[in-house]
Amino acid sequence: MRFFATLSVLALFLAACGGAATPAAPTTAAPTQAVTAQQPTPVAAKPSTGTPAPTTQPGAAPTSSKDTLTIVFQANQGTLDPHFAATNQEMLIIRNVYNGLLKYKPDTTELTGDLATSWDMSQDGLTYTFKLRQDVEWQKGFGHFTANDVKASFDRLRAPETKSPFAGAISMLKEVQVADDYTVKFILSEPYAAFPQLLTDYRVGPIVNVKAVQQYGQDYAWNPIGTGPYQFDSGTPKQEAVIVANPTYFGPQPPIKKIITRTVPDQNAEVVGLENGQYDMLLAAPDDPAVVDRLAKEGYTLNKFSRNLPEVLLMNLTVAPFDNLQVRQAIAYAVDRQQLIDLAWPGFGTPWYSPVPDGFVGTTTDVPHFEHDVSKAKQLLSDAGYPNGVDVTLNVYDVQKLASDVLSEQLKQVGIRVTEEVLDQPTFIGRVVQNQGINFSLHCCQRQPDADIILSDMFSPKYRGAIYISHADLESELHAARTELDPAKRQQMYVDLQKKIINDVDMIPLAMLLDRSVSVSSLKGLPTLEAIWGFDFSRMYFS
Amino acid sequence: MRHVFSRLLQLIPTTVGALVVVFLLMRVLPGDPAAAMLGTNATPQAVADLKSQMGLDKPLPQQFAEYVLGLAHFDLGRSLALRTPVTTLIGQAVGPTLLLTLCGTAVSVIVGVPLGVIAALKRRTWIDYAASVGALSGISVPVFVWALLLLLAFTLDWPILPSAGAGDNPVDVARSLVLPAIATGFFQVGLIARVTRSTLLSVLADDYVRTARAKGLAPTAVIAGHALRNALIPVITVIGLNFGTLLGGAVVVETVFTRPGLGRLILDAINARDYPVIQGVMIISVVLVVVLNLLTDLLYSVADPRVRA
Repeated sequence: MRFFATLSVLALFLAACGGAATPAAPTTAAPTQAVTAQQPTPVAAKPSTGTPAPTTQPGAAPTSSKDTLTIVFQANQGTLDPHFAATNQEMLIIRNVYNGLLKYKPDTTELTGDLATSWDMSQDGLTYTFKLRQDVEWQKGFGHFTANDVKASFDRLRAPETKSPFAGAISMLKEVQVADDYTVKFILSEPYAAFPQLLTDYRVGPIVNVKAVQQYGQDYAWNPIGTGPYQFDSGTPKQEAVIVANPTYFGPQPPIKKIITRTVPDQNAEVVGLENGQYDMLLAAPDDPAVVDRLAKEGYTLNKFSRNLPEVLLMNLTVAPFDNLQVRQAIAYAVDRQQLIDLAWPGFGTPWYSPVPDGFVGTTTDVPHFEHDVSKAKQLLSDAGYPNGVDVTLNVYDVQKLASDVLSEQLKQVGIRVTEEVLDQPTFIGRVVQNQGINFSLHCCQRQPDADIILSDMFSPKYRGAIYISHADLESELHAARTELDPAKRQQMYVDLQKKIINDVDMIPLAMLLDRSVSVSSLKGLPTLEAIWGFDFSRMYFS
Repeated sequence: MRHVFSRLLQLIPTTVGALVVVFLLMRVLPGDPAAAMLGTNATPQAVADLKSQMGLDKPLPQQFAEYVLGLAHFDLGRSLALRTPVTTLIGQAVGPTLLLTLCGTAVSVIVGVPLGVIAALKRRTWIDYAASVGALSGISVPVFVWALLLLLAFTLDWPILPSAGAGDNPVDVARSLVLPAIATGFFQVGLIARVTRSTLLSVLADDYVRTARAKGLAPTAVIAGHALRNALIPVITVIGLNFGTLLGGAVVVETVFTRPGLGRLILDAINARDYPVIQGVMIISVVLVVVLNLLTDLLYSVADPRVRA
């Protein structure tokens, strides 16, 4: 009967209790064999006209056999204000209610117009001019969309009183100028090759309606007004957000008319709800492979797709023993990537050796590979002055525990004795950004697919972020590359920089992981690649 | 009346004590709300900006003073994560949780008291032993296990009840309450049955029960009208004292059944380090428990007029 299933479900519950504190962590995320990495298109570096925006996708929009999609997840949606929203769950709403000037073409990391029809960059790389669509209306009668709205949105984001945590990400933007109703110029203080990546509908990019911001005040977070294919219908913070098709959307009407996104904190309750037909999709596949197998046998679809999610090992290069190159090399040789993937990320990881994730602008596979070699690792450790081994503390947050266990065992084989310290995500991130003794960690993140955005976060004291554990200073190399406007030269700079990072073992790339969700088999139109968090629901339909 | 008044006065130091402890504990805990909100998008500047927007860059004594001052005006502050007044959040959550807890209590009384009575009357028969085993398993099996078993049985194997939510109309509210109330109340069934059985047994041996029987009263009248009424005081005590435990159980039950309520609210707030919400829920819980204990005291006098003297 179901009681065996019940027992496994109970075990799962215990596991879920441990992981409840982590909102948007790329738990189950991962890229693999099935997904081919898209060739990066360095649009930013072309001082030419950008591609016109094909708002309508080629071919007739599919019809949907069902009007409502209910998608559930364990983490909460705290805010639907894009200038504050950060998580995968919040981005489900943001990306469908709002538009940016640019967006990624479906299943690629290639930029295309969204609210912009075309764009160009001046020769000096300091001015970007965007031509805007003229057929865009704000949702719920907030008027016609013009260039003034673009300026107002960016001015709000950058205003000190807004205190948006993302304002720093666009610090190179000096001014937004309105040339005419449908032309807007972005003036930068210095060239920034990845600038167009920032204008997609993630973090700084979504264009908010400032009139609505003023009208709703603090309640704007749960009264979002955008221009996207869906508009906000109703919701309760941390419980549920419902969006419905926007009748005034400039593109084709989405096949599914209503999307219910709901927090179900218990993973077992999620699975039961899927099985009894209350839900159509689990945003994250269950942790327990046995439950995933059962769902697959029952006819549910396990969707694996890439979000260009890397998994890396980071060390503080300024504290012992990680300040010793030979110790870092020993760690690099101790890691057995395939075993780590087989045990911790089975079926959704591929070994990866480069600092810049697969699929990003600036990535390369032309870097030295440290392959698993226990005797070499032991020798290096001995040469480093640790013939009897060395003790280290590995900090991880709860969802990384399994991988951390495997890694600790691998390091133990060469004499590196690991004490694992497991923290919840708020504690972990808080300690990283406040520089409170996170010196060795298994970690990573979702970033817009450009080398500068992830490497600056990891290695620049000026742009340091939640993955700045190394305390290295590669800012001069990063600055040179981010202000280089020739795509070929810029690519070469990143190749050189990545070789340097690997030779110095400033970090150890481990794997690319795929994101995984589970849905009813009739749900179609799911992505094979999403460059940023969230989904584009307007592509989806029920067969 | 004086008793009631002094109990209400006790509420003040209890609440203030709980408040100080919670306020300080939350701030010495590692992790901060800004980092919780930003996740891997956090940068030192972004965290500092968000903390300043939340008012967490002020000195601790000032934060405490402002909080207490607000409290004096029944203002519990605003949620850091949602920027909604805490009183609004608690207002939305307290109803469903009280409903769940009261229904859970009702389940435990409706099942537990008769079970205890039967066990006492059929002492040392298989019925008594079966009731004891049932009571023991009720106490031993954790709430979440009952919750999951009920979920599997009645929403998947026999899908007759909803697995999540609190319902929009009275019928749905009732339907969605059945399983959570059973899960919440079940652990207390055993306890109530055990207490009812033992106190009833001792009361049944009292002289006045023998007198009642001797004067020819029907056995049901003796049990219901005389013995049980006196045996109920310890049962009421157990129910009253366990109210706090039931509230704790609501955290788990609300999570498993995806119900809104104080449990969900505080769990989310702890995960997000949302200090004002945690403080608010703690204060409300303290007040609820103290007031319900007071009501328990008052119920004694209904069950046993001697208490009024």
